[in-house]
Amino acid sequence: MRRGYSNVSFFLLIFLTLLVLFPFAIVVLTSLRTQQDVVTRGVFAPPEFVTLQNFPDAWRMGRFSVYYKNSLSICLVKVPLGIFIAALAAYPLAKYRFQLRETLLAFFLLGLGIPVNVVLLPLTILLKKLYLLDNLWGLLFPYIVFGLPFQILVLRGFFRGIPDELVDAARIDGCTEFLVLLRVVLPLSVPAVLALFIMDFLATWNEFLMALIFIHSDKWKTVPLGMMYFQGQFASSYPIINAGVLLGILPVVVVYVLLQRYFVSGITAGALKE
Amino acid sequence: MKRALYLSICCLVVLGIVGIAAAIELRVMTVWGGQQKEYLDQMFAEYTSLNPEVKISHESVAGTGAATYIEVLKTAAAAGTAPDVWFNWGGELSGFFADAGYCEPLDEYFEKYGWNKILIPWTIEAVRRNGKLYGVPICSHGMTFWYRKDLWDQLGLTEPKTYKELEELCAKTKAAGIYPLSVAGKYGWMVMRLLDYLLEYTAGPELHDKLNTTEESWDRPEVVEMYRLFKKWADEWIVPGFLQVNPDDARMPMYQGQALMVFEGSWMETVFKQDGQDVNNFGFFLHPTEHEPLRISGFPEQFMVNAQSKYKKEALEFINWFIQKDVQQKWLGKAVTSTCTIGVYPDEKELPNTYRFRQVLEQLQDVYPPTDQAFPPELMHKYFEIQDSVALGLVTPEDAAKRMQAAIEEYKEETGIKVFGSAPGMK
Amino acid sequence: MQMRRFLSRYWLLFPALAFYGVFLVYPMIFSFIVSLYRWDGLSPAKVFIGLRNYVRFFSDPTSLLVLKNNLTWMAFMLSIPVALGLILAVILNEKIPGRTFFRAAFYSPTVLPLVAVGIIWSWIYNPTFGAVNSFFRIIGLPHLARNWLSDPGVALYSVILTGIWQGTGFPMLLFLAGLQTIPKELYEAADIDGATGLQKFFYITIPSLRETFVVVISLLMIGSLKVFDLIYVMTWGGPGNFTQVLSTWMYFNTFVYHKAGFGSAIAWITAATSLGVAYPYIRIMSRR
Repeated sequence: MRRGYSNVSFFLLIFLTLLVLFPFAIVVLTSLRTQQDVVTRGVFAPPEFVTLQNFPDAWRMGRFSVYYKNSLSICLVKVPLGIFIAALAAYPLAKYRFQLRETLLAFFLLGLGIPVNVVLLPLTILLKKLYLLDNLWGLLFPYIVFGLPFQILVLRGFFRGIPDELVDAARIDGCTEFLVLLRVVLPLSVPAVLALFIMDFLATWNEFLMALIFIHSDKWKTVPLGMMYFQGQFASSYPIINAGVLLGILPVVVVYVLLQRYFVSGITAGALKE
Repeated sequence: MKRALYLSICCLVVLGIVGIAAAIELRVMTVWGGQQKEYLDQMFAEYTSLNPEVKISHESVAGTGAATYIEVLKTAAAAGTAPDVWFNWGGELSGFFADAGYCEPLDEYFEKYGWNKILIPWTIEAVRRNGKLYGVPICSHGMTFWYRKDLWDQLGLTEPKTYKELEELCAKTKAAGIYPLSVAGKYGWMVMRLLDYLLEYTAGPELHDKLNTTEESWDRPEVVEMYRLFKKWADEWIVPGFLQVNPDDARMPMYQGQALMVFEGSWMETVFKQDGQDVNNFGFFLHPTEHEPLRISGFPEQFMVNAQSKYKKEALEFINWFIQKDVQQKWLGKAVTSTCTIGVYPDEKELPNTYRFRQVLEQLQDVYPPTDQAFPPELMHKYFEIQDSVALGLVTPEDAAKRMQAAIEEYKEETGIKVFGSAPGMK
Repeated sequence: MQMRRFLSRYWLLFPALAFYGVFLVYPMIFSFIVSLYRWDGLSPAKVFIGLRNYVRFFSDPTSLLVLKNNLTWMAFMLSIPVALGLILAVILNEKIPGRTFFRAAFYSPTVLPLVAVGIIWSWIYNPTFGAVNSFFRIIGLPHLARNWLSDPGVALYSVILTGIWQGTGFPMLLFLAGLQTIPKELYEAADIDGATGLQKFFYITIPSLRETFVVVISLLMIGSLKVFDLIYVMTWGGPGNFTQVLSTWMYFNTFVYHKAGFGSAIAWITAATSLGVAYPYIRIMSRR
């Protein structure tokens, strides 16, 4: 069995990896040091001694025991729901022929270009009128909406890559469009859906600005808002910030590692041959 | 039997509703995070234990810088969801809200509660906006040069009483291979502190105040001199590449022995402590302005009351409690890093510099504001642009003064404002 | 009967359109109306000035700089992360040892929240104690040390480097997903024909990834015009206004200068430009 790579390229890969991981390594190192050590001996110096105290401190200061639950809840609901709604819309945009198709696509793309800050005030007013303000589940709606253009674009692209013959065959068999989507198109788009899941989980988990503006009660806050608390008015504790960051990104890393395992060549390609 | 059950359930429900109705939630928004926030939560809980019908909800919008805090407050105010009490800085940052009618005028309460007797006088003047008081000062800060004692003693330095002595001090330090000053220019405000000092020196108190309200033109020799002196600092005495360094990182070169001084405020000793430094290794001196009275950069922070709040009475009661001497004294160094209440001091042994600085702040006749509280934000950004350009050598000091005045005139023409309304320290 | 057929086919679009219509269209219209006024975003006083905000943008000297910076950003972010992401995806698609670790490593910059990226990279770039300058001093090349974020000639490129570091994970992930859909048989057939690795790459891989390319490039185009977080955190648009981009400029105007009208106009100009750039690209690539 011929190796697909050479020793040289492998070492290049390792070298590149080390470079890319360097900032991450600093995050980890800083989270294991004390503030005094960091500011006096330098940020890139090896630790004077290693401490794990920053992690429970960050957990407490960032109110993670409350906020983690909120962030997990909203992510686990919003991400699948949002992707599903996007898939519903992406399928006609990819596989139907109708007059308004390109206009609709442009319409969704326009939403992608709008910066969030500008719509914060009208959204606040809107959510207030709908009694969805200062409520974790009120966040669901703007979150889904802002994910839609991106997800529709990605899914449309992948759906287009699926041969029309397969779609037509299912239609001839008597499937409604919804069933075609469910039984034929989606199973063949598993890698795209997984990629979107990872990216959307990340984006939703890290979303800061809307959560900051729409939520003010402590019981509904999310993890990024908790990370704010690590910063003092005149100076910040670097070890705590970095420890908090590591605690904060844990779920995203877990999701990524779990899901990327399914990026194994052949899972869907084989199916296409049938 | 059933009837008794239903009756008791109804009673409980009614009591519950009454109970819920009796306890109101007072929303207090601050900019404080970190350890301070934890203490504040305790402090607010203490208030509730003394006043069970008022539960305080602490909304902290921390660490993200003035711009984000103002954004959150502004969006909330415009949407009608602003908190009952909020923290704010002084000058134009808070004046903006007062001018738009979102702050309750508090003049009568200063009389009623006797606040003008227990607060440091210049702090009250400093929150006055167009003649009215829209907030209660709760923190007072002053800023000047802080230095490392061991390096200072090694170099055999003494406290400079004139600007020339300060220059000699810097030259001596530089010759020994240490940078005299470490400031960080990102966001502009830390470097601005140095310029403010230089302007106080070149222009003197009266002219400085008039320049802040723009009654006087900035295109004049004193301003040119300020830029010229600043260029010298930037070229020779400030750590290189300082323009875009994060203010959070400014003190590190001093800790690591590469710089002698920082330009920081009365809060600095608490920072030294948090950083695990020996507080006895640091000292401060009031920057020499060669004018009488000696003024330093000073500014208050305040609590403002939402004009649309349903709980104004409770808000005022809370603020009144907050600024009382015994309460401030108890929480100084924990929930509050500074105070405007007269006679509140930290432990002299634990925080010697803070103790001394509080004496200074109480005895100050007058202060000059940081320019970013005297100027509206848009104009301030032009100020920072010019400041950066001078440091980079892209404009001459003469041109810088001209540009500043041009920017001021352009702003005034666009907005129709003749003079700026609340440069603290202006009577 | 017609209606029922229509509904049974097109109802799929309704959920997305409903969400969009309520929660995005109203705010978009609101912000467009605001852009026709002079308003500070808070006080009840509003002055209608029509399209003057838009005209103002094109005659503002900072605007040209802002557009130039965005174009520079786009040029780099459209080329390097795409190329790197593609190469990494291809390599990490193979069964090499530690594949999971490498995939995680190259995606990890994307995962780091902005506050950490800002802090760590300003440490790396710090002129006095930073990693880059210290490295140059240690290896005996101190004249290569720069003020990475303060020097106007270099600042934008320093942030671009961080952007590439953070932004390569996303194309890599999408290309990995796209690679899963390429039938192995295509490669096996090419092997039989004696094709080299490079030939397989250019004649099989790249054409098969056509749709993925369209998605990645259009999203990067729009993303480049919208870039905000990284620049805001690393340079705050400075020194002066040298690293301002459309989004930061809009942000400053809306929230710092209290010029909500002008800021909204800039937001709409950004959105229109994104559409104007990405949409034709998608249309062209959609023709088969």
